[in-house]
Amino acid sequence: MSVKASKRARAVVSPANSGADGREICLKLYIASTTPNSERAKTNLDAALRDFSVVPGYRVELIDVLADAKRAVTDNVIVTPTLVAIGPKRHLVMIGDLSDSDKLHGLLKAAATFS
Amino acid sequence: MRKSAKRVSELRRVRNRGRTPKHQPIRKKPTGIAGFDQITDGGLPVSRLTAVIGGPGMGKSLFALQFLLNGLRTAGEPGLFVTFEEPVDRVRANVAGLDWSFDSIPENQLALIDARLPADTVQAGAFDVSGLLAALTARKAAMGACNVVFDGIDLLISSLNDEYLERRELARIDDWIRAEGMTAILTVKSYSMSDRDQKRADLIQYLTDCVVRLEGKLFDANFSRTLRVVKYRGSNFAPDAVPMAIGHSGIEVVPNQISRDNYPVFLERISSGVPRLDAILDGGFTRGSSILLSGAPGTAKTSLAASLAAAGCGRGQKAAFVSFDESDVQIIANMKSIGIDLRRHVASGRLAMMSLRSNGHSPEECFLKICDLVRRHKPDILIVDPLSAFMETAYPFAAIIAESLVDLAKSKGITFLGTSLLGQAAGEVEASAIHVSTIADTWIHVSYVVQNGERNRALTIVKSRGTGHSNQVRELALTGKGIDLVDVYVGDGKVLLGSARLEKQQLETRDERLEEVQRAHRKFEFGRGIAELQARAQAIVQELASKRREAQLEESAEKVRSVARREAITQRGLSRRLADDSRFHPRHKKQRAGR
Repeated sequence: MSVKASKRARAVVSPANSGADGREICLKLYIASTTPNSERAKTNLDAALRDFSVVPGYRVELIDVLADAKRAVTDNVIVTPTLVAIGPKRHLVMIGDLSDSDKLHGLLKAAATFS
Repeated sequence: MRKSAKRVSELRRVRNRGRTPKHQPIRKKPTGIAGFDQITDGGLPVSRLTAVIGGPGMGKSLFALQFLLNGLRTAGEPGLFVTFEEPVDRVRANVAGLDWSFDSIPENQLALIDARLPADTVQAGAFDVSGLLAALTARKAAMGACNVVFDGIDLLISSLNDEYLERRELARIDDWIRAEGMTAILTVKSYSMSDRDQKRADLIQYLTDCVVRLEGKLFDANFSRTLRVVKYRGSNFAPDAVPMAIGHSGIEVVPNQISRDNYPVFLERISSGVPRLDAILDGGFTRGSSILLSGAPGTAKTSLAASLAAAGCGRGQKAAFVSFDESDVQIIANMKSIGIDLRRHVASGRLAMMSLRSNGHSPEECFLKICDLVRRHKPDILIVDPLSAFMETAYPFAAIIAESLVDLAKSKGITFLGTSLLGQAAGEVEASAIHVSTIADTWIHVSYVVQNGERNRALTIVKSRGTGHSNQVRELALTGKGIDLVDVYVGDGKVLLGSARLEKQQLETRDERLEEVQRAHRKFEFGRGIAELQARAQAIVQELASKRREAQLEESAEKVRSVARREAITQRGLSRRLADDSRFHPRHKKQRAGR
């Protein structure tokens, strides 16, 4: 199941796209299959990453908690969609369908400053 | 318009998922909170959603935890506790003061799940709880969990900031619970900051099958907790607010449904420890009955109560002595001074003593402590001294609790004695002073009688159901050898006690002696009179006899005379004939002229 999910992840979001200096941001998006919120989140994230110039490079893992419930337990997913930007010291967490593009841009900007 | 139509259809889809058209009678699952299971006739609805609503500190989480724990302990059902507000270690710490904890329970039996969002979580748009439900589904499958608690879910869904979205998520949870066949509790805060808080609380009340409200209110300075079942779909329930307390084992509820039937009935009499009291009660108290002992301070109520306890222990029975505001040591020492040895019975384990403080504890808390004592000690005799300690507080359930206490004792066949502190008001005013008097089988009242600068105790049996009893006032005497009842002096329209009685009794003895002497004197006088009269009677009889004799003699003399007269007449006739014969005889003429 997880294989299927990661396949889908690659299909939806652009694959790893390293920046010139090799820096990239790691993102995890937890969704619940094709619920309206989850679909909107995927679209919104995709659009933001495409449009947003600050992002040096990015890697997105898409996790469907309905398909991979174990992952929901281990990663302690509470709401869907949840976007987590993995940093070396801390994580940034955003919940919702990412329809607030200003907030999403803010998160990506903050994630880009992780080094 | 199109948008709203779409929302409605989505809502309907979410709502209808997992619904079964079958209508089964409601099944219930006990919470382990005995009083609650009683008022709901079995506990919470199985595979349904129950809302526990209350302000902060009212015991919502505790109620839910107790439910989970009971399911695990009694039915071996694993449970999930999802906390949205408090970290897991704080949930554990909150129950650390109780006589149970989670420390010994493995994680796969009772899982505490932290469902708090990270502190700096940014919200960007609408979300749903599918992630949580997916995780819970996985855990349920792994553990075989049957019960689930969502503790403080309003904190999470309120951040949706949209009434429709909140409603949708609640419906999603409701559907999940039904589809998974879980029995669930949703705890919800009741204090409302805004209109939407109120709307959410209302919505949750509509959505759930059972709503339990935990409330607290101050009465003067006394805090009284109550629990109320607001609704229960498909079931009967007692809708009244019932007193609740948080004690050592968590929430306890005191249902105010008193059955008043199925009490064990005994004919056996038990001694009060005061033989004279037993006598006027026609053989003592009836076993399993309730006794109210009322009176002003210092009227030996505690002594009479201790006497009953000591007598019971002396017979080999068990007794429990609950005192308010007086320590065990103090009572034992006081009773020793009047010859009642309680220490011996405490040492043998027959007598259990418990001291409670009446202020700072609600009557329901005290009641639960007494319940606990009864459960542990299993006494034959229960004494609460004074029972009126319950009554004097401003707590709203005092009278009900006192009644529950009597009911508890009756239902277990325990002889109950409660003392009641009453003022100096005398007579019938006392009758309405205490509610318990109506359910007490025997009511003994001890009052002070002040006479001639002295206070004495007067004991009366106001009532005694089902037994003969004296209706006379007795004087209660406390001596170094114990308690005794003394017949009082009744006379001259007065009841005399104490030294007035003694004085009166002495006075009476003196009068009696005097009377005796006078009686003897009178008797002597009478004797003399009679003797005199008898002598006189004798003399008269003799006189009578002599008179009679005289009369007889007279009579016989008369007879002689009349005979002589007749003879003389006859003689005269003869002589006349002779004279006729000799007409001019001179002697004959002289005789006629002499007449």
